[in-house]
Amino acid sequence: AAQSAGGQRAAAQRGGAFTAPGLGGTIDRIVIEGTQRIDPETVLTYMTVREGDVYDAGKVDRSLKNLFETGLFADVSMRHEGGRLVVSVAENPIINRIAFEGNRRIKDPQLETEIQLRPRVVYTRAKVQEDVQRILELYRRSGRYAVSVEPKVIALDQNRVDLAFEINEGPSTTVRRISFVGNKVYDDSALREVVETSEEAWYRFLSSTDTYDPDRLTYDRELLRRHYLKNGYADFQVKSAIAELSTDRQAFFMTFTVSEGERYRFGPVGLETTLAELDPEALRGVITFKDGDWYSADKVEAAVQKLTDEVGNRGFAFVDVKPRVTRDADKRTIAITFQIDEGPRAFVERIDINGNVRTLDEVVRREMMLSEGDAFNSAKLRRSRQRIQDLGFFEKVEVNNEPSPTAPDRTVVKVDVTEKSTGEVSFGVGWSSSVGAIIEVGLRERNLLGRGQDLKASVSWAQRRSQVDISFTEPYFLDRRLRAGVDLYAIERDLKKESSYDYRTYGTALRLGYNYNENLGHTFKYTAEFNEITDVKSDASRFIKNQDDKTYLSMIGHVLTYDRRDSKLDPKDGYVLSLGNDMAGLGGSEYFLRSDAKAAYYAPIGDWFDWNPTWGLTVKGGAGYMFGLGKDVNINQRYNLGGTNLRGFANAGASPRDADTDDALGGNWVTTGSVEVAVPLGLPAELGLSGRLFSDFGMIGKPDDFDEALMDGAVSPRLSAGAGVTWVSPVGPISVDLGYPLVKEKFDKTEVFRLSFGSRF
Amino acid sequence: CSSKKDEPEYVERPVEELYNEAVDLLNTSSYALAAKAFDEVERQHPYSSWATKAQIMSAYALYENEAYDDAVVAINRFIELHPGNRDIAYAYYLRGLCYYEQISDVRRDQQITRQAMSNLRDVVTRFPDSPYARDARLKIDLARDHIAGKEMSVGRFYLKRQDFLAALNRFRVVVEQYDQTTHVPEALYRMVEINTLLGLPDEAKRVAAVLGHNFPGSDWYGDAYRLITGEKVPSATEGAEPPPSSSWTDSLTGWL
Amino acid sequence: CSNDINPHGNLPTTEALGQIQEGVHTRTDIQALLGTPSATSMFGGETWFYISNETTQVAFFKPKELERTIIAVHFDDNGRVKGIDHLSKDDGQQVDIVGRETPTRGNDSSIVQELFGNIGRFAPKTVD
Repeated sequence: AAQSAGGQRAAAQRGGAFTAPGLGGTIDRIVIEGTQRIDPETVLTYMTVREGDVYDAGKVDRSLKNLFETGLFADVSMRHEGGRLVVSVAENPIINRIAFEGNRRIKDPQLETEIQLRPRVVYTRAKVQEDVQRILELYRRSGRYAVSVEPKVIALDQNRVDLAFEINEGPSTTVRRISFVGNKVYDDSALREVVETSEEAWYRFLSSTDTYDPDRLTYDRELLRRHYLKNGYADFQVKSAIAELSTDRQAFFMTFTVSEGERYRFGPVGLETTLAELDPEALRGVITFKDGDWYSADKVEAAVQKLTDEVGNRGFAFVDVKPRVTRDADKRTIAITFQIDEGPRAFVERIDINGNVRTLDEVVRREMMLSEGDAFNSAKLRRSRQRIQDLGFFEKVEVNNEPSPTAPDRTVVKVDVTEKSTGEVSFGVGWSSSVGAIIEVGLRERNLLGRGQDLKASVSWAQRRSQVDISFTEPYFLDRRLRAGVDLYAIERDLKKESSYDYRTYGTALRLGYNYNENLGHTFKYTAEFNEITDVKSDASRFIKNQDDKTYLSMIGHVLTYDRRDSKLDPKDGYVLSLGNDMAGLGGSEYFLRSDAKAAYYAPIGDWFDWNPTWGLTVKGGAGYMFGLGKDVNINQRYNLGGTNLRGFANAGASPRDADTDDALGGNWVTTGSVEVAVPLGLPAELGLSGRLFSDFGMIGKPDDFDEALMDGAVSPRLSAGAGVTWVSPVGPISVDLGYPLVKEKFDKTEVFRLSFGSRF
Repeated sequence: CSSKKDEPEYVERPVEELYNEAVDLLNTSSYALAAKAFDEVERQHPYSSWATKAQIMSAYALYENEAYDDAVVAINRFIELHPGNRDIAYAYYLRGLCYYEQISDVRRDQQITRQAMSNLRDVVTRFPDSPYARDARLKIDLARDHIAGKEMSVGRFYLKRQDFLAALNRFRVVVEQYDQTTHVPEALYRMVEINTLLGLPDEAKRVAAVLGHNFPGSDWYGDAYRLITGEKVPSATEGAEPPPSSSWTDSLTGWL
Repeated sequence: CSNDINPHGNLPTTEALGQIQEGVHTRTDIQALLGTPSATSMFGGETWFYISNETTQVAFFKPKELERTIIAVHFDDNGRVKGIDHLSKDDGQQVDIVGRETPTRGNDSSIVQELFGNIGRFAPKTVD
């Protein structure tokens, strides 16, 4: 930029010096010299001087600046000869090609999108310098500070140039050591778990948190503050957080200086309100802490939200809850009084939804708890944002409001969503003791046609089971919060090992489901199925042979579920209960009534006893009972015990069986239970290794046609105990279970070792 | 410096030959190749008079190839380099078309529609008497009609959920701010419907009168007239079949 | 399972309504007292409406309107309050909503394009 700036100053003086001020003279012709590619009219459009004007140094200077600002010209000069104004320009060259050399960590396409210059664009020294900075910034963001970038220009004919960025990446700079000063209550290793930046270590080759990133440093300060506030240290402050670069620019040393202050307890908790018809004491139940508990900022924040919701629910449209804090330094207590007042009276004028390029407007709008014209209520707005987020169609959901120009007490709610890809193609390979090697291909679109509908299709082949599933769900059937769905499935199962026969099932199911509230859900289902028992081995049990091979099932059933778990995918806290009843007999060849109950309880014992947080207790229980209505229950509808529901036993290993052929026959009722403790292995979390100890329990009843003489079957409890490990490898989760049967019948079939690994990518 | 792999190998050819080859590609509607060929013209002969023409032709080829984002980038470069060129009006018009073609269904985000309108308005304000201005004005009205359609679809959404106040204000926006569009008769009728539902007969009559005065022949006025005068009974006007009451599934689900 | 009741619209408080003096208060006074009206009458605008209702929704049944109050404030020619009407739900009449819609254009992408077009399209650019 220096070169062209110099040119500009010289031109201005020359222009100025040549024409003595005051020599008026009109310009009758403007001559443009030196244009090659750019047509003269373009130069004229940027100039403020026109033919026929009086010569005015200010205007000429203005035109000079305009022409420079276009960035199209390396040099511009103007001479006033007699009546003619001569504008001579030197065009900036055009870039023919851009190349990058020496860039290993960041690939060419990425660098190209980062820089401004493109082939066929005008080359200016200023833009090249800017692009050098952009490349350096890109490298810094991925943690490499020892990078140097040298732009090289190769001149070509017709005023064109080739541009090459020679990049020398140098070694990557990582965080070698994180140390804390002034921390007495929590030691350095505990605080290292709190901050996100981590020290460089051999097993962190995949993660990028061991590089220095200024934004992450400020985020770490926030994490530290939140951690201390959560545990009652109201006076906590991060005095300083500095990262020094080593002389060889290969490592950062980070030091956090903190002052913890004292640990506070809650003082008396008060509730006051100016709302006439509201009795504040009635709301005390909502507050989760009381006088004397350890102080925690999170609990105060949660209480404010709960109070706002509660008061909102009682019909007060405009509510504003503010916690008033009085700190008593020597008694180290913090007294809190929640002040509940009437908030500003505001109404929603409009709700505008933006960014839904694929999703229909109504799919988002129907999740809003507010509609236009309603009283503005921030608690409902927050819950609406959460419900839209839970749809799972959006990367980012922002709901905020701005005052409306039409009236002071009106506000416009803006819902800005950024969609994410909701289509998934999954391909899985695995092996499990029950079905052998397995290959799975799946296609799913969770936001079909932007209507929020869910379409799944999956095919899986395994040595002993192949299955095709297609299922479609409409979340808002008949414009109500009613989940309606239809499933089609075909299963071929090889049970020769367990019961020496194969069976084929072709079926379809219609589903209707709705939620009474956040936790209580109810689903009705009608199933129509054709089952066929095929190629029964010649030496199979006679009880299997006399089962009728072709059966038609027409069954209606329902499942009531009460789910209070913290997460459905990886629950650590809470419980879930479910009860289901099925009746087969609306036509079809099978007549039976079946009831199933399941319960699971998850307890984060690690947090309760302040041990390592990975300690977790899971207690599960289940019972199923069915009986034929005037007809025996067909074999492949019966319950089986052993394998996944009773570790330590083979598939259907504990089920009643034919005495001499050993084929499993199943039973009419079953009850199972399991206690599992997640055990920390003391290894770093990044390795993805988790261990568990478990003990399973089970009992199974007899089939209808039980015959003491010809069958082995005992209604007696089976018990097993064992340990297992799961490794979430880059290829997929691999889990191994070793289960030892402690209490079993002599004819039961056991299986100590169970392995399963499956990867979906 | 390393030359890019996918770059056609760098053969110097006379500009007319290159240009005509590109035009042939365009005529045989292999637009992607045509766009590349026009770029090649400009790259090899940046100073020939053909280069400028090639730039706008490349943008047109991209537009035909429905690569709208790339087309807009090419047009912006043309406008920046040749603001005084005689094809400049066409450049602005083509940019408007690039957005106009991407207008999506009313129930989706209308950001593109708004961009199309502002670009087409550029054409009308900068080049009022150019051959493209007339078509630009027509397309602006169609785009505005489309945005009114979105207001209507949100209004119907609230009407179905019995949020009468929300629905009433949405239809009012259409009547007041989108008065030239094809949705006004229906908006007026919906207001008659809602006012009747809310029990405000004289308000309903006043709106129905305006509907009758401006759109006497429309079906919507027929419905409004029946609603106001004949209540549910079909009116005496011969040949007017009863209003198609909402689909039978709605009445089926009414009692659910 | 508590199905909470949702208040909608603008329900002015009874004592605010009590303070309205007919023949004296102008539109600005009413604006100060009751806030901006939910709707104003069309093509004449000499009536302000304050519309509000309470709806509830049980499981999968349609949202049901429990009660509705409309307060109409009429203004005379020189802008003074002329009268106030109170309307409730039973003043309303049952109406069959007409299903016909004015057609709009805009390309609705085909099923196949929808099904496959979106896979990976929005996947965020990965910066290693």
